[in-house]
Amino acid sequence: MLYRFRLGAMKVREEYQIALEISPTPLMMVSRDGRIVLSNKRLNALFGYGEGELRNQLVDVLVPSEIKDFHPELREAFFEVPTNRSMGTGRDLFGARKDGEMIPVEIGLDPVEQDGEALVMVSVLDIRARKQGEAKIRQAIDAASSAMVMIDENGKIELVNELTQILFGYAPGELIGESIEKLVPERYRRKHTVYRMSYQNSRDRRSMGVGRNLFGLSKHGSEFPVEIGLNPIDGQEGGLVMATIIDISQRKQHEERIQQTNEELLRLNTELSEFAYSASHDLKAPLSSISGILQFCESDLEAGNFDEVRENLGRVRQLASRLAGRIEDMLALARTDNVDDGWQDLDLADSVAEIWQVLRTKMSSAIELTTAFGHTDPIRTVPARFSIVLENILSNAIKYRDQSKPNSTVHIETWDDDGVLKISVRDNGIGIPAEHHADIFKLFKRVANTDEPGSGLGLALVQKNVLRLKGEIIVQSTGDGTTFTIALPQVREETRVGGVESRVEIA
Amino acid sequence: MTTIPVVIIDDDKVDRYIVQRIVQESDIEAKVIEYKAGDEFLEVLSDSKKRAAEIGTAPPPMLVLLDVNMPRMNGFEVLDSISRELGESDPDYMVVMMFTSSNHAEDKAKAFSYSFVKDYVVKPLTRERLQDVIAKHYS
Repeated sequence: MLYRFRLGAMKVREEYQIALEISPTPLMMVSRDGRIVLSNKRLNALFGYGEGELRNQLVDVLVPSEIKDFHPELREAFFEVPTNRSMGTGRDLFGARKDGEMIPVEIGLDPVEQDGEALVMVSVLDIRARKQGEAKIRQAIDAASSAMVMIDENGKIELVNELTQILFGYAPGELIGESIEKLVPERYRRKHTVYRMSYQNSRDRRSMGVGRNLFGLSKHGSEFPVEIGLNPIDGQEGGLVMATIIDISQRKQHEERIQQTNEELLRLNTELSEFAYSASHDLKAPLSSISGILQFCESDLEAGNFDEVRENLGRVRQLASRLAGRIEDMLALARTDNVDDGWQDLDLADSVAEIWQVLRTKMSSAIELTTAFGHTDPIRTVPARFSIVLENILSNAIKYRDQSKPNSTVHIETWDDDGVLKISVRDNGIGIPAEHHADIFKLFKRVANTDEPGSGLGLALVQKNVLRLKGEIIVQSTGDGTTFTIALPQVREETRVGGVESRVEIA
Repeated sequence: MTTIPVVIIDDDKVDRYIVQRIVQESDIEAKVIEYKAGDEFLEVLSDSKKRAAEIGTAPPPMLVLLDVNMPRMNGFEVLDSISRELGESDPDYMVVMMFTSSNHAEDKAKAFSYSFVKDYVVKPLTRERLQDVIAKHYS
């Protein structure tokens, strides 16, 4: 009986053997104690063994070394409750070839019983090609220039590419299984959940939130503007959506910069047309008057009124020189932007003396200039700009002197105010009413009633140059006179030898 | 023969002289009153209105030549003040003529938006131009 049984058993095994050999799948049969009872040619070939080489070997020779130690235990557990199942669900499995190469595999286990002996039929699938395919897809999405996030129908993250991790600041794998709302700023989360669920009804390929500004939230809490494309993926699992996310921070910055430049250009354009309007008017006015007077000269010449002609020609000459002065001022203003900003040492006391000397020749009556210099020469400035400033302030003091006062005076005072050179120019002239203080530095703005109108550019020119000297100018004025105070920071280059000493000297 | 006063408001001495002389040489028997600034004129206007009201007569008629580009108060600011001064009353007695070297279309349109601005003269004023205006408004 026993013999027959054995014989029968052998026969069954042979039948298995035939079945195994014709199967396209690498197969083997393993006993409870881990011995390989049977293996087909395909399995032998997969692991690099010859015919019969594996028989009676422990199955652990096919197991990677790091698993070997606890594999017998796992095997024992299987035999306790034998079921048809895949091995190592959720884990990546590898088989060890005879030459030591590890190959990715998928393993199926089917319990079989033979003559009361529990055995297991093991099918081993070579998944190298599939793994390569997956790796290729992975490389492809990692190479994409936008962040890609795949979510399931419940908004759970299934897959992200490398750029997503970089953009949102997460470690590899950290986002898998998380809710997509984790990448959405707190204040939009509730709405986003609703949008996401309604998207599942349409599942169309489109951009997210057209017309709205979208933001992403990084792991460390910072927000950045994004553009998001939605692509439904209709596979077996159903409900999958691939979102492509592009960080548009830079584009937004560029847009803002362009916006700023546009506003600046618009402002300059308005300024320019105002300038053109005022300039054309101010240049035309003296010419109109000249033409008006010349019509009298014509009739006076015919009538022989030569005295009248002489007087009117004097008026024409005055008007012509006023016009020339205005053109000079406009050119000076236009040139202000082109003055070479060469900072040099300048002797302030000498400069004041020179300017006063020139202005003096144009004065109809003597004006007394007094000075109280509390600074230390030389000062550091752009001489061309400094002269324009002082010249205009002083010539205004002369021009707007108060004829009703017996003496006209101009007093210049200087002092050092913690590295800032302060210059005040005080006159006892007609003064400027308080309501005009805000206007006096504006282009073409004249506030004085005078028979010798200026160009309205002098103080605009002064302010422009003071600003170029990184300074400030303020005006104080009463009926008793006007005081302009100019603050000029004394910029000393750090590299200049003795720079510190100079600063101390000034103080 | 017309005897209405001609008021010239202009900060420019030469331009005031030009008007003086043109009026002198025309066959208009008019007195030219000069103002260097708008506020000086407005003060007088207000006074004469008050005086006229006191004695129960209409304010005297006048032809006003008003410059646009003046320091402190420009021509349009003067127009605003005149407008306030006149109030609802029909300013038949006052004809304002803008008198400027600007022939800017916007300035022109702005000036004519005031009902009492009847003319707009681009400097220089000529005899013919002044006679036209007088004929148009006072014949």
